[in-house]
Amino acid sequence: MPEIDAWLMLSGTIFTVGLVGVIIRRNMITVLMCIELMLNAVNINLVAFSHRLGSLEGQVFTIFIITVAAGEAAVGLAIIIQLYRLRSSINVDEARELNG
Amino acid sequence: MVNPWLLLLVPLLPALGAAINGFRAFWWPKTPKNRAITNAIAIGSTALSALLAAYSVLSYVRGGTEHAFQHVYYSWIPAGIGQVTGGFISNFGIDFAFRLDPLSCTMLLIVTWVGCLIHIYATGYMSHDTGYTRFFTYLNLFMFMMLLLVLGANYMVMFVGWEGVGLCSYLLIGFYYDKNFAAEAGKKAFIANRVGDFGFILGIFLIFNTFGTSDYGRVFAQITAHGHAYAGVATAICLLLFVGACGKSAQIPLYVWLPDAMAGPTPVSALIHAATMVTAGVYMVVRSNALFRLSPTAMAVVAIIGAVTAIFAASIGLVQNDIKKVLAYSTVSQLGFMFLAAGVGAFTAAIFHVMTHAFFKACLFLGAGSVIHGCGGEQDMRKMGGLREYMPKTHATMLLATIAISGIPPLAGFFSKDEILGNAFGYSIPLWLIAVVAATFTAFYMFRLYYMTFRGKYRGAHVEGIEESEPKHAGHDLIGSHTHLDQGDQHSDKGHGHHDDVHLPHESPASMTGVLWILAILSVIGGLVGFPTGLFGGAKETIFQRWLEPILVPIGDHHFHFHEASKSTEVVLILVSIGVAVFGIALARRWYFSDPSWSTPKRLGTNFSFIHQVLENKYYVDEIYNATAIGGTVKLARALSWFDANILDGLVNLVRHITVIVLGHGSSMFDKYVVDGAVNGVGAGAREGSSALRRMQSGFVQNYALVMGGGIVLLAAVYMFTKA
Amino acid sequence: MNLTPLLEAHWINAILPELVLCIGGMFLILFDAFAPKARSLTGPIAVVIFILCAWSQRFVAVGTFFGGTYEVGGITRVFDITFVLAGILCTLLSADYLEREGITGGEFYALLMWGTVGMMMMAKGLDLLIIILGLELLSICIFVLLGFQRRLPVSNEASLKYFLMGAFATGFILYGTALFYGATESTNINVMARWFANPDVTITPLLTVAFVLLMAGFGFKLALAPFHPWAPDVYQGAPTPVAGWLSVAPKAATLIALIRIFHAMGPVLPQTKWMTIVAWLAVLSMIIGNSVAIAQRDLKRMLAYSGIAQVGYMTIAMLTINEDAVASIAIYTIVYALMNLGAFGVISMLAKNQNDPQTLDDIAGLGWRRPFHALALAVCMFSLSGLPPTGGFVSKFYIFRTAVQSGHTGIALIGIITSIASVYYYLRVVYYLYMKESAEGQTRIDGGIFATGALAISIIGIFLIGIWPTPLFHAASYAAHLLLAR
Repeated sequence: MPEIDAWLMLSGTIFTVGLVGVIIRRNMITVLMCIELMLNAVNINLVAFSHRLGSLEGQVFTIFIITVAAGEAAVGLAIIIQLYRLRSSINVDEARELNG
Repeated sequence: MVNPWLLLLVPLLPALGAAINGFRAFWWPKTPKNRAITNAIAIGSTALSALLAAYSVLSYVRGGTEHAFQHVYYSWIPAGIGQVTGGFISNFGIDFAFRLDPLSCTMLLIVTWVGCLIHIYATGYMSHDTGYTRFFTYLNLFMFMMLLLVLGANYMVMFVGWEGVGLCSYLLIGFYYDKNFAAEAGKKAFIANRVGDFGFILGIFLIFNTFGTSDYGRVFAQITAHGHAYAGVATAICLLLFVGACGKSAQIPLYVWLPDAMAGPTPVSALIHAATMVTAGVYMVVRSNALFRLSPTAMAVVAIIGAVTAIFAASIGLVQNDIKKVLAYSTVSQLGFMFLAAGVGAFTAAIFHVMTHAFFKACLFLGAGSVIHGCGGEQDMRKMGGLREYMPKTHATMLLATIAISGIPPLAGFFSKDEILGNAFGYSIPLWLIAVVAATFTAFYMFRLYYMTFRGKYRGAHVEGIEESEPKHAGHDLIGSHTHLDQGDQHSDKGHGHHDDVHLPHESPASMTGVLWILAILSVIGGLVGFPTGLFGGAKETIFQRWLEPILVPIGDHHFHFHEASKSTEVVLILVSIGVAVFGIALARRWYFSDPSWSTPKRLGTNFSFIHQVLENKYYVDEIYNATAIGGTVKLARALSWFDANILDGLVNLVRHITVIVLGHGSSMFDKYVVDGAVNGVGAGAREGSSALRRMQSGFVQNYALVMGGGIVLLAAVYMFTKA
Repeated sequence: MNLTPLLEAHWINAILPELVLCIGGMFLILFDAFAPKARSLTGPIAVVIFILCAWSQRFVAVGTFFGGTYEVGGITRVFDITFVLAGILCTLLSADYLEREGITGGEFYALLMWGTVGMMMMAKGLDLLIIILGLELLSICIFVLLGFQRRLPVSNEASLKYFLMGAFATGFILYGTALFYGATESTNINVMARWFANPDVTITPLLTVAFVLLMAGFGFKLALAPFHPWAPDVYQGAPTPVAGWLSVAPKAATLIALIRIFHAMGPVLPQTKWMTIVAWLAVLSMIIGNSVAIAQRDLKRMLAYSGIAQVGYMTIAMLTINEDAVASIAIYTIVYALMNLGAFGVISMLAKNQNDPQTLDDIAGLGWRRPFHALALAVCMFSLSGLPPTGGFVSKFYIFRTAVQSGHTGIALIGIITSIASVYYYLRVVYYLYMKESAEGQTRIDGGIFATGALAISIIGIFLIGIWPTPLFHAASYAAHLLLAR
């Protein structure tokens, strides 16, 4: 098995784990972690490709993704805190006032 | 030479009037308006516009009518950069341009002058209404849009006017919006018109795609140059355009909105739903005569739909008791005559009938308005009678218009109707027979209306027996019942005396009767342009035909033939059309005048109760539309609840279903759309369906994520199961 | 280290509008902190900054910058103007809205500006990295703006939903990008274009997966069905001016980014079925958007579904990227900004508890109470439904004409049919405005001078484009020509 395929499979697995987690977990923090998993799967991909292609673009991309993910997580945690204040719970299902 | 800027003022003046009156009506809705100012703005703008229109037409005629006058004011929608579409045609943009040729001149004069007269009439008719200024705002706006429709030099400008008059019609039908059925009638008109507009806009797109332009001159020039090349596509274009005409001009199967549209004030019925807007479809077909002549199929469809509508609506008109409903069905029927004329190739006869019909039908509607006004809002003819003594002027003018529509020479209706019948005879005998029967019906129901309303004894005082026999129609004009909107003080004793115990009809004010007289005189003499140019010599061509000659552009090597009748046949035809008119009148007189108890029609009603029922209920078309719509709704709702249960599979399948419906059964789709759509069907069906879809929107954010994931699966499925 | 060789001449001019907005946003935050007494001025200052940004377009240097990752040209100017227009309208609407709701404005406008910077980056990015950075900058600003009314449960819920779904969608976009990077060996769009232009290129299933993931992510930002379910909830919960802005500006930015990507893929598109996927998205959006909108009584939700349908129309034009397509999309986004923000503007003036839905009943009889505001809403509805002579008609005409000319007649037909059906729910609003009596204790319309000004801009713009679209059309066509000339 060529090396790159192994990396792709790893990243695909992690991405799927994250994706399923986002859909089925009810705890907001866990959901946030699952989103991070998805982004990290992307990072694995980028670094693997970068290594194979011998180009630095992928690694630069990775650095940016890590930064962006940090920013997103910060805002996400703020939203979760506000959710907790309003509903005394961080269960995603609490937020379903808007529907129909 | 025509001054293009004065011509531009013709539509702009009413628009300006609408803007000023609109500002006054809406900005201070609570303050009473000075009606003299409203009148000055509304009537002043239309009168000035009518004068300018006459001046423009005169200067156009002085310059010779062989060539159309066309002026591009500016380039409205520019074309792409150097685009070349299929074949040899480059892509033109769309100009904002006006065109004067004999056809638009005729329509222009009808619209401005009849419009102006009806404005004047409305000052009397609406004098008790609190929505006075708002009413004239809408009316002026309508004039603007109608003039755009008539003057536009390409289909797109026509479309702007087309949509605009539809909107104004909607606003005016729903003018008494506090009455539920008025709003409902407005909605019905709107939906029926949207179905028509759908055909019209597709037709325009097809024209644009075929000819690369929507300009009349360019399209016709291309047809003249390569007539053959377009024969195939012309059928499609014409049928689509005709769908639009059916919606606007109330032809089968989209006619259902027009009778209900009588919920609007009577001047609106006269102006929009009799004289001008509803003839827009005829105008459009005649305008596109070059395209229609390329396609015998489309012509046949137009002729058949026209003839069938003519007799269908006329037969319903035979038994209606609401004075405005009789006139409404009469309008539908007369529009059918116009389309019959266009369909058999007699385009000038169609426009001729548009003109004479505008005169006598406007007169009839306004006369009916006067009657309703005089009777304190009553519309049931069984509670009228003997009005000749109370309203002599209304009686005289309406009698003239009734004779005119029945087709008695030498009044206007005779000439135009005879021309249509003659041409129909040359085209197809069955169509001619249908038209002759419809003409008999016309004479009968119009004189039935006349005798029931004006002759005999006044029956308004003792009405108890009649009251229960028929539930009130949901289409009554509200002249009687809307008075509660009045602020009260300007309520004079000359109107609306229906609070009195003994109420007697009274004549209407001079602003109304004066207009009636003018229109009555036009109904008498308006047909004279239908005399052959060489009355005692050889030429059979009439003055009006010669005038409209330039609009019948040559279409290359294609020629549309219709058989010229011989001299003797023609005399026989004339005698037949006079004969059936006289027969209809005599029958009406015998049944409704000579025998004051109306025993014959009553006996027929019981003996042939089935037919009577069917006619009285207008062939149950509304009911059929409702039933099919409900059936469709149930099916749709079931499909959607299944869809709800199987979101992911469902999406794929539903989409496939829809594609099959849209692409696979293109033609039956239209059918379905019409049947369902005609009334509240589409609305109700879609509401049901979309409620089902709404339930998908659960509010759980993770469900949305799941739908997104499912969407990706769907995309993959689409990818795998479609061909590149 | 000497960076000079890495930076092209006039690079500072290239990002002048972005700089104006970045600095302007910081200034507003400081102004808010240090001059709390003059808080009522933040709105007007924000408008001035936006106008400065528009004015700075005059000095913008045209060309490719930052090592071929940033392209400034005619089309980016057209889109910049759209973003600024949306920003100005949103600011004007917010000025009165925030005051009524008791929110301080400094950060709000700053976030609006930085979000606009993000959109400008998306429009100009010639590298997927830049596009994604712009997208993230925009998204983070939107998360905060949506939750700005912290005490309102619905506002928080809107923010939460957009955050979760947005982060989820970003994951898809990034994964797709990574796969593209692996195949094309670069994230630079020009390099990718050269790779796609190679006649020997084979389209592996992996690339198709990448494309699907990319479309899912961007489809989320555009609210294309089936990636739309967030839109109605988020619009309903969001502060109304933000909802209006969100329904317009990010969509425009996403569209121009997609135009670049599709254009780069141009050579391989005929041999793939990728555009079939896009076509299905468009059809689904038009059908779902227009049919579900009929059942909505909440105005913001109705506009959300209408937006789903509208973006479906725009997507039709994307099926074949040519000058007409790009120009018609540019025109559509401008008109859409005017009419949708106008509609949301009137809704934002409904003075009621923002936690409750704003329904049709709230605007019943408005024609008699507030004629100007009713007129504005009616004009926006006419324009959204595509009645002439409004801008909505002209822009729809361009879209459908482009689609027909590119041979997508069937899809254009679906568009025309659904848009005719859509008139039903748009006109229902007008029906409520003019043909319903207002009840006792009816919701008040509370529109200050700024918001009313925004409505005036909307009405004038809609009619101007409807009656005289020529200048806009020429500008957009020329810009499109330059974009595709390479």
